Amino acid sequence: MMRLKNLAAFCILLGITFVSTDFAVAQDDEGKSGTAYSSYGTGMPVLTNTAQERAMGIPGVSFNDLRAPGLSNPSFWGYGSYSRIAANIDFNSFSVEDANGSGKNSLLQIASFQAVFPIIKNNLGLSVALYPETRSSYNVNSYQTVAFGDSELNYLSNRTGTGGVTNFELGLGYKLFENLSVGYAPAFSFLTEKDSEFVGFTNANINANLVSRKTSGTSVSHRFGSLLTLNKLLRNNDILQIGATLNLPTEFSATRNSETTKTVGNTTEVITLGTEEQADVSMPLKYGAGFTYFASPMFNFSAEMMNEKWGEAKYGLNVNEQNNFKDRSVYGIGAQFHPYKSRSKKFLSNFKYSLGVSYDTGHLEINNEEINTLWFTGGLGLISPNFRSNSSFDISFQYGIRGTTNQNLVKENIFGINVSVNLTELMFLQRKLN
Amino acid sequence: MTQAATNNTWRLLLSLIIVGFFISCENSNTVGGDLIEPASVKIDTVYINKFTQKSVEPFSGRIGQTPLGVYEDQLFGKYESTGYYRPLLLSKQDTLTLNSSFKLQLIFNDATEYGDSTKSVDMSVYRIAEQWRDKTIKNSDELLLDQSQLMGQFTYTNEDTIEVALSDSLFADYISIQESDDNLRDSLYNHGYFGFALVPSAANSKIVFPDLENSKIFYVDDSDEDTVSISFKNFAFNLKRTNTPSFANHLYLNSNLESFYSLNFSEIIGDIKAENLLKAEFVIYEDTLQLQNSLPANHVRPEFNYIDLKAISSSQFEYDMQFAATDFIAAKNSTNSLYSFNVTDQINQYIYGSLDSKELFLNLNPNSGIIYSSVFFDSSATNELRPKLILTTIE
Repeated sequence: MMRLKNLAAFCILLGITFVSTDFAVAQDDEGKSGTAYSSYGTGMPVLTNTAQERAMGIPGVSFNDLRAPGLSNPSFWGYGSYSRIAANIDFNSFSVEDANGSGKNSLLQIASFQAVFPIIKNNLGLSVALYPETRSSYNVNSYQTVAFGDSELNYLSNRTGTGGVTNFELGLGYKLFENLSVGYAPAFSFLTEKDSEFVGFTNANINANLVSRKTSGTSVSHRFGSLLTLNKLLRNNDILQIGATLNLPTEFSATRNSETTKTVGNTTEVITLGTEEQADVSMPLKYGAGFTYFASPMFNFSAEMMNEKWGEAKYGLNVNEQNNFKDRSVYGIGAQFHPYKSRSKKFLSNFKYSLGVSYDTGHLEINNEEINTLWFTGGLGLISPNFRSNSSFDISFQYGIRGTTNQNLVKENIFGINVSVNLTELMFLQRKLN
Repeated sequence: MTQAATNNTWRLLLSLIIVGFFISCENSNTVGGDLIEPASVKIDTVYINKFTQKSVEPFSGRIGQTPLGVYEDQLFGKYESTGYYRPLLLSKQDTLTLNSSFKLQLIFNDATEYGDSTKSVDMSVYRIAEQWRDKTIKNSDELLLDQSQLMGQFTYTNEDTIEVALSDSLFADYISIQESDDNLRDSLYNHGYFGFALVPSAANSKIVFPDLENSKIFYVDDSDEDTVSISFKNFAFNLKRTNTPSFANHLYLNSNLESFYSLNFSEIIGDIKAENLLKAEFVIYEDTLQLQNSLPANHVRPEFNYIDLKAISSSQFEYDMQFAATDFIAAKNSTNSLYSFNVTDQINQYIYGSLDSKELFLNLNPNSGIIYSSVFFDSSATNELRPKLILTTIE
């Protein structure tokens, strides 16, 4: 009954999140309001870490938590007897500033959805997931003038963008040996971007205009992972996990169309502007490595890095933007403390706590300035007390500082909340005793 | 973990989602405006070079104001305008006798005049001696007048209203017809009574424009001082033109439709490279300097504020040129002495629709009755003053 209640509550929560996210998008018309840097290429690259991994400041390639299925390393899925479902929800608030002013943006969205099923308990697992690889979300105004005879024409230009590369993935994790597992996850990648350009004039004799540019493309991506687990290195109950991942480059043959509406004769028609553009767009080679040391059941710490070869990525639809790409590296260290395992009755002992710091060099260099981000993170997690269920939810808090106001760029102070709701249940387990 | 702690945690989670939902509704701002390339609006100019001059003979019947007078314009030639009027036949209940006086009351709604503002206008009244219909009469049609007998005369200076005493003999036939049997009245009126003309003196140097919709004839019965007003059933005018001008390097527009122009944007569509056209303006520039320099001191020309641009495709070209609705109207920009037509829809039909060709006619509206004339720069002028299409586009 408790499990059904939890399941019902989870579904209700997920439903509310979907509806509220849709409503938020509708209220802000087509554009969500995130970082202006996501206007470059297919958007900002997104790490596929869970809330607790994010709280620790790490990509998660070496942190395998059986309660919370993760996307960071396919080799994790070979572990465990539980069926696991997880949804990650992101909320980010951006305090933005440039040389001309300041403002606030915010973004609420579903980060990922994943289900992991043990095909062979503690040996072979299947993961089904939907998650973004890049995300574009911006909504920016600028006021412009153009010479018109002896006077000037003033107009407002608004650019909004949504979309990115999303992966629908089916992957397998397999325990080769007791202490070595591998994983492979191919995905169907689809690129969908919508960029809207609105122009409005203070001169009422010129009609406003909205142009919608839609970019699409599909591809198949491949990623691999491995995890080496070593026990009793320094203590009797310690565990060292060393993880590594590899994402192969992905190429899209992207197409872009631009449309607007015009009054032609007595009718309003949708007009295609220009011809369909076709160009190559690619996701770069990515690799990550790191280790997590579980000193005891109560404490663990991690150090990881990830490297993405954005300098070799293509965005043929806008070569100027492509020329701003550069290789990206992410370095993170973090630690966790699990007082709930002490079975203390104190309220604060019911949770697990995470802290971390990470540095992201960013994938963009604009006007000779590297767009990097320094993150300070923390979080807590709550575990279900039901012995048949290891369901949990984790919440992480991140504070990041990105960019600069030099060179007409934008500096962002980012406050983020990430929530992972993890439903971990024994499914398809035949009772041996009635 | 206690049940209460679990419940509180779920509530906390739900609250975070709802708070996040509300917080996510932020407005856009200008931060990042230098980072993200804004829309680039461009203004282009395409010159219109081909104008074909045309003329038609307009109808002069039942136009709101009839020109009366004579004036020789140094730039536009000589105008001599005679007005034709036929009073409405009253019903038999209205008793008219020859012991009464008939007066013509002319209303002048505004101070519009053409010529020497210091001069007055001398007019004579004569009987019209032939049948005429105001629905078919044209500017150049001159009716036969009985000038052997003067039916009245007046001098107009600058009044709002002027009353002109008319000879009783002008109305003798009218009264006879008005008293006839019902079955004969209309026939007698249509074939036997033709009204009168207001003929300007050749020495005049001004043209005035009475409002014929509101002007009328008064009949005053001397015995009982009863006053009956009679409106006009028909009115028109004859406009004689001499020394009509020809301009080698200008576009000449005249409300008499003796000069207007056809043009066709299909000839310049190939020069339009716009993909996303926001606005197309067709602009012509008035040569106000020449207009001012050709006008002696104290002389005035009627000023107009609008120019028409219309498409006519029917077989009734002359009629439609005068009376068909205008497709585009340009209002005067006094600052720059230009007239600008918003022809965006027309150009959109070329670029985004299936329009291949459409002839348009540039003219001054003739239906007010007031004589307007002006000259505009043509393609021989400097780039600043040449007729042009101004295109506002997004690159």
